[in-house]
Amino acid sequence: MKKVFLTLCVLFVGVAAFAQVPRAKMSSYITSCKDYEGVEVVHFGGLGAFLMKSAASLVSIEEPDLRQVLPIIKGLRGFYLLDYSECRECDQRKISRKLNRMLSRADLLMEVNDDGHAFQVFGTDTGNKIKDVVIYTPADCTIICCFGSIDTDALAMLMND
Amino acid sequence: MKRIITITLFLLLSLGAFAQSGRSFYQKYSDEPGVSAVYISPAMFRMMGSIPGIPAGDDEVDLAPIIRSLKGMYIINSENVSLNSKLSKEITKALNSGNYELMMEAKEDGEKVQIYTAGSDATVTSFILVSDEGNEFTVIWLDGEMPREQMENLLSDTIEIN
Repeated sequence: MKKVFLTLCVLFVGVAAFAQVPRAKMSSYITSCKDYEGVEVVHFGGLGAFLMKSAASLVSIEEPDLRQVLPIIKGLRGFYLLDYSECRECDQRKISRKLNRMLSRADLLMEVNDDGHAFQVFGTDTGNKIKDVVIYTPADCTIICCFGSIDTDALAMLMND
Repeated sequence: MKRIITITLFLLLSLGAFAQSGRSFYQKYSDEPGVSAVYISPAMFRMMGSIPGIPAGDDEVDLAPIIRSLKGMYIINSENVSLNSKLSKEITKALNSGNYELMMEAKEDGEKVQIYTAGSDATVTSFILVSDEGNEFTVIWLDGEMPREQMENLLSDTIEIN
């Protein structure tokens, strides 16, 4: 009976791990993409995210509308933007292939595909929060990664307002 | 050992059975040329609080307020005439193999719109809208729980207004 229970646990843990955005792999790969010619990388680490949140909370004193944004970005731990649209075509294909392979294991939250021009949002759903949101537009050769957690209730409230 | 293999096989088979839904239909056709496709997951639905409107007559009906739980929404719109007959066959196959019943059908000037639902008398668990305009074929597939009465009222109200 113990063996059956263990097998089931391993299977469920395996399935749960399979659906997550590979944060460490993606961040190190995006950083390594700087070596390609024509690539643009913007990165805020933990400190950058902290400064961004502090700046937002200071601005919100004079801009009350911005106060609603604070709970949403509270859990943000890092931000990456990779734009490889100015790269050589062979490099673009190489980067896209690698990103597709990494994201193939992540949970797709939303996709809009207009005649091959796709806009995809990936992330890990944990109930009232979404962890590690990745916005990927392969045709535009752009990927945005917001690592950390986003409060969905706060975002829904802001959207309804 | 035999028991472990049986349980593992059962689990894998049940995962395979889950795949025969809107998701598998979407994955099969969303990348085809001439196709526009949209997928909305439950997490995204919670975040946005809305889904695209369902066409009913000249207007659109918003099912979002009556959805109790959404497992996924899939929209496939094809303007690829050579693919449309394949899509039509595939959706007919899915409707026949599932427990779907025709809820509404409207025909006008060569355009045909059909709405199918599956579930119990009280709750709709799957909603499929098929629109065939000859050169354009649209499937809206919604997996989630909605009270049947509320959904029927909402649809009939929208159609009456039109």
